[in-house]
Amino acid sequence: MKVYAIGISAAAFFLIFSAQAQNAQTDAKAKKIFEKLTGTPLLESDPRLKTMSTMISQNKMIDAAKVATEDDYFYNDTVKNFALPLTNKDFSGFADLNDMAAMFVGAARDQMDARELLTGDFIYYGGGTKPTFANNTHFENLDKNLTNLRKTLVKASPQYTENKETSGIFTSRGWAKAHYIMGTNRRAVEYTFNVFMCRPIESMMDFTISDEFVRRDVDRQPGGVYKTYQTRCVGCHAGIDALGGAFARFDFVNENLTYYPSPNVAPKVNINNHVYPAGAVVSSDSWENLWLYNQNELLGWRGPTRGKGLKEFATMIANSKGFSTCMAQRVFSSICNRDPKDTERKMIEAAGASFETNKYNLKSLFEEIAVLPSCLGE
Amino acid sequence: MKIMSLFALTLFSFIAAELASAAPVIGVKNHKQLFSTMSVVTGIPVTNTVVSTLYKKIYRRLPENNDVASLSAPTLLSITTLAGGFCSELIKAEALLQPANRKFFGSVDFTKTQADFSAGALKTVVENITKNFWGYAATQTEVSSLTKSYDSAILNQPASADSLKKALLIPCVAALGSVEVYTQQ
Repeated sequence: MKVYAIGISAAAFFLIFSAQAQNAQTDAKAKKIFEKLTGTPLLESDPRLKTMSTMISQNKMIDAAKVATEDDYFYNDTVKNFALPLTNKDFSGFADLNDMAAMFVGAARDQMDARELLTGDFIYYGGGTKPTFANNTHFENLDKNLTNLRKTLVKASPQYTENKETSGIFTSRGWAKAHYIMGTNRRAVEYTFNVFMCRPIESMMDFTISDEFVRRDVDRQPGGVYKTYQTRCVGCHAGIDALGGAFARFDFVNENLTYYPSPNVAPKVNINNHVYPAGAVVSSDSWENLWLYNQNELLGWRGPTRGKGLKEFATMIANSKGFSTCMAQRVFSSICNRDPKDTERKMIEAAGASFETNKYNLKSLFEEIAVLPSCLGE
Repeated sequence: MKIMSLFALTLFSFIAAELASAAPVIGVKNHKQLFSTMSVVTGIPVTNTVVSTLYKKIYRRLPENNDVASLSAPTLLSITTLAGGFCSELIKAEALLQPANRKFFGSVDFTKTQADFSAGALKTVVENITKNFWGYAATQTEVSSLTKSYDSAILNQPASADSLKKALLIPCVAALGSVEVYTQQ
């Protein structure tokens, strides 16, 4: 009898001990997921700890992550911090809040189709008088006042009444100031691929495509050596200049967007025409994507690869597999403290595919990434 | 024999690499996350004028992003400065509450001097601070180190309630500005 009693006590002790160990494990995981999604700790006294922990013990990982994404800090810090570096050419996390970053926060909060970030005609602002394109004061004030963006942001359409052509963030003030100012707008093409396809321009280089669209300002014999053009310059210019028409109507002058309606294009896209007078002339907003093959085939183009205007270009980018995969990659890097490894490529592609299945819901993408074992360091 | 050693070495390298890849990666909280985190663990809202003004003044010296490379001597000093702002507001706020309603400084009588503040009461403060800021009970070594920081700060100070408050800032800032708070896994 005594032996039985000892046995039962030992079993009970073992069960209690393992249950406690299990609770400690799920609590630790809940805290980690919460911190990844909000940037803040989940306190022991917070009732959400028990809620998340219970969900984790029932293997409802996404449900647990959803508890965290209900926290204001998910929008005010995590999504904002995810977006801000994408709005400036230095990828700085110290950039002021602007309309482009606010669009990301609003799109996540309202669970919009994230492709609309590239193609839609809307703006998110902090209520009151709708800001104009003329300055960034409205958004800087939201930042200065540490405004709760999740609670404050209001969606409005059209984006800016003064804009004649609208295409999501591409016609936002944040993007325009970063990429339409000075130069020839080639930077806008370069950063489209860098920001939304996670492909720095060097990785896009393709020497097998036609250089028929390379403009007149590109020297065909830099330093007197034709080979330099053939083996370096053309690798980027052939693709960039073929797509350049998409941005040909825009300029950013005196802190404002200048639009050149048909049949005009911004004069700056045809500057320095004496360098190689036989080069291509930009005369409309037509564009053609020549980056379709070799390493660029992996970007998974879907739908038309040539078109007219910014919106059709943005639609091509938004519908590509490259966009969804890149968003998954960027979310991973922003909340998992590291970039995904080459060996994790399939995992990121799967997250991108899931992003598409979930109707490009940015909030769901964060939730899915945050519970990945490789993000949790398991 | 050589082949065996080579095989063992390769296997060891593989296992080490696998373990390394499974280990959680440490990141640093960026400027805004640090500000929000300090607010959450102290309970001082981000809208508090003192801390929000301080944050706006120094945020560009706090970590820019989550990369550990964004840590430097100036960023560490700025983290301490921010922790100082939160701790002084925390002490101010708790001093206005009844001891039973305080989360951190329940064992302190803010109307008295350091002479009336016992070692046991200090230990309780340090344990409360670390548990709330770090999310776990501090080790004996950690508690001892933080109590010593108070002892050094109070040494040779005139006996007053104000001296006590100022000296209590030291363990608070040390715990709030510590690696446990400014890093994340």
